[in-house]
Amino acid sequence: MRNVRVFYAKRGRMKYVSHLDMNRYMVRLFKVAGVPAWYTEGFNQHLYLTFAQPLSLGITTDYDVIDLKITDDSYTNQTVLKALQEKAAEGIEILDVREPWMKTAELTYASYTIIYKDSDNGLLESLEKLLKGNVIPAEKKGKKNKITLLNLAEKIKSIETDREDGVLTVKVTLPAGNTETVNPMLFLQSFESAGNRRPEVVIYNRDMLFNENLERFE
Amino acid sequence: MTEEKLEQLLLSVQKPGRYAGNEQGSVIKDKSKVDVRFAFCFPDTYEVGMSHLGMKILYSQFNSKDHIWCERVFAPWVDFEEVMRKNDMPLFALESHDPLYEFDIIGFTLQYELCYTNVLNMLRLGRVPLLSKDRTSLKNLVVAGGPCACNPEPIADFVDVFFLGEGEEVDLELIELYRECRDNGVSKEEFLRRAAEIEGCYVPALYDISYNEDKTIKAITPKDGAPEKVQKRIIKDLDNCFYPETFVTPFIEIIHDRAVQEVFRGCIRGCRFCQAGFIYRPVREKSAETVNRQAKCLCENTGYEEISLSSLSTSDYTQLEELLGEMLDWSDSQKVSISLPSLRVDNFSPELLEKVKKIKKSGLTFAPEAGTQRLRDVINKNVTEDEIMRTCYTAFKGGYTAVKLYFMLGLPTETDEDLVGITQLGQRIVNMFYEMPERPKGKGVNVSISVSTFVPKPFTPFQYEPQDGLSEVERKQKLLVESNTTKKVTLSWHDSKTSILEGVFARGDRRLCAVIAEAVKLGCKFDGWGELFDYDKWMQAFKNCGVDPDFYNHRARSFDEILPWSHLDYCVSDEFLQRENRLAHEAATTPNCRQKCQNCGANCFKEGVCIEKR
Repeated sequence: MRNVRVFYAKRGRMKYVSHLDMNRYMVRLFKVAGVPAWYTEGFNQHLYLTFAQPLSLGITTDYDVIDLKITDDSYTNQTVLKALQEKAAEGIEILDVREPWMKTAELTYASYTIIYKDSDNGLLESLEKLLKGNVIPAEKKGKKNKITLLNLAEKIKSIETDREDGVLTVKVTLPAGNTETVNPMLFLQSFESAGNRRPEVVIYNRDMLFNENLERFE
Repeated sequence: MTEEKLEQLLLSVQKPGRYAGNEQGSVIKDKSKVDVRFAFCFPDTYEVGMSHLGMKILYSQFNSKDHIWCERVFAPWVDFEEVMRKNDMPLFALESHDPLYEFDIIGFTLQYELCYTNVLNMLRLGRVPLLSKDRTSLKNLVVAGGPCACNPEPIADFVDVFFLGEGEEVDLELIELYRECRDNGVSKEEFLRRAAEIEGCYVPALYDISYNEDKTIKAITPKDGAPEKVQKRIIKDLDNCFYPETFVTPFIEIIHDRAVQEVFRGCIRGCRFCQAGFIYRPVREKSAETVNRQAKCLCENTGYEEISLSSLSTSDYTQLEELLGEMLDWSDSQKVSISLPSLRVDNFSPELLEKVKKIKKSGLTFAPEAGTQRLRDVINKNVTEDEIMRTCYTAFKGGYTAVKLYFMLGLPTETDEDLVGITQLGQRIVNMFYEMPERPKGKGVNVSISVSTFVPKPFTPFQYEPQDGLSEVERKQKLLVESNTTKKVTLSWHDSKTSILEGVFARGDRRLCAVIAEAVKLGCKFDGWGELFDYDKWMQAFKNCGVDPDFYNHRARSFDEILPWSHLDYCVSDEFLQRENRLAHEAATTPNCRQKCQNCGANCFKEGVCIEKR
């Protein structure tokens, strides 16, 4: 038995698959691919999967991670990779399979690319204004609809903006991990509360996962 | 509609997975390389439609042909419909996202009467003319099949061709005829005449209906060479019939989220209220070898961890123990659990319970259907109270503490005593539990009793019977609640108003087409969904059209009345149904197909149980 980390991308129409549904899909994918995954041995036996970082519905990702255990040591990483690639649905790209180098707990940040339609060119100005003031208020909905207020500006590890042809691209790195996770969707809300129209989003993509030192999570 | 726009809109509705497609197992073809594009429409939500086995079978079968591309279309939930209307977006198919009006053939499966408004609403959202006569070319041929096609008259004006019986063969024959006619520039009228020659194809436009002064049917007259009677189709050899090797496996959770393996069609029992028990005759089994092989293949290809052995009464499968033995050989190691729906109380053995326990500990559900022995004899539910008690005893002994029982209210000849009998039976089961020394320790018992309202259906011995009216049903429901003496028995019941509507459509005729169209105009849809069903709007629609719903529900039909489905032949004879009706009124039972042939008419196929050695 050994630990295996599966790296994958989730694109296109797969973005409509929520985290819970993704979990069920992955269980079926491992079964269909014939990967000898380890099952828990309790009363309700199930395939043991750990997603490093759940992803909200509507967001695509270039780099996400699932951990599991493999019971048959004769299955190499390469065999598992091939089997998964062959059976994965359109929009799921299995990038690599190898043993985990970092602990899940080391995951600290995630970077995102958000592309807004900015036809009236007002978004960037308002975003810059918000950033300058160092206060971007947002409401985070937790379990049982409990609402916590937070200042997004404080949470931003880094941010770059670029405007071209009526399109505003924001590249932002936010906390993502065991201790704290900030959902990039919250930016939409801030625009609204700052008095802007809700902008049309073209792309919401997670680009990469990082550890504390902004090294790629592997 | 661009994909980009669609993506924007999808993020604003509940469960966008209902409309996104791209599921594992969904079939994408190059539309420039296919000859016939078939839109398989299920007139309910994605979660309901994707749970339906018939659709899975036909979807896979059609797509196994290179020249056909079959896609799926579901009724959009109200939130998405609103978004579609606001953005001028037509209803589309999940695979290509192409609008419904681009399809050659649009096929609906009619699983229950309350879906009719959804059929019309889907056509409307798909920008397809509603009335058959307004679709003048072969573009957008609208066809329909499923159990409600056995009396399709309430939607006869909207559908070009109905498929009677099982679809695997007849559907493909019609698609071939369609191809030939379209490619040779044959008119729609001529196509329909030729379609009527295919056995199992009913073309309503080729029948004229005249009425008597008392509103009953005077005559059903075929024209243009259409047959007097249209006979249903069956698949003769289920072992060699197409069965999918994989399913489209949804990402979102659906109602029956598991692999489904069919074990047989038809039912030997002949319960007199049950339409399925008559229209799917004769019973034809798959061999245990076939079932096992197909089940294993499905699990491997879908990755499902649960498989259900499906039929109208799975414990009647003659090779059940052998099959379970074979399946347990691989299911355990592959972490697949087997579930057995439709178990009967009279052949639920301790051995079977042992196997079911190994399989999965889910709830146990049985259907005594009526509260007293007399009434159970009337409906020919050949189950005795002893058997019910014994089954519950076996279940409790095996560690179960909850059983669910199904009953019906409003059955022919029912008295208040029969109704009170339902809750009394529940009480006796509770009493038995507490008298059992070996009962599961430290646990209470729960008997949940679900009572639905009886609706007489065509092709059953009760097709002649009146249905209880609203006030009578409500009085009976009240009586039931009052007669319940213990909290260990939980009662639930169906909304009585939907049953009224179901009854009207089940035995309705063509004069209802206008009412349904009117109801759709008034905004009726998803009538099977309590939160959307609007009884008052429906009554308004009846009033606007000058049609009296009571005419269809509250009237006993004589044996010589011409019924709206008299020209459709499901191979159960009128003589048989009338004999069964008389026996019902004498509270006399009829042995099942395996005990003694009743010469119902299904033996014309010379298949299955009709030719089994007894």
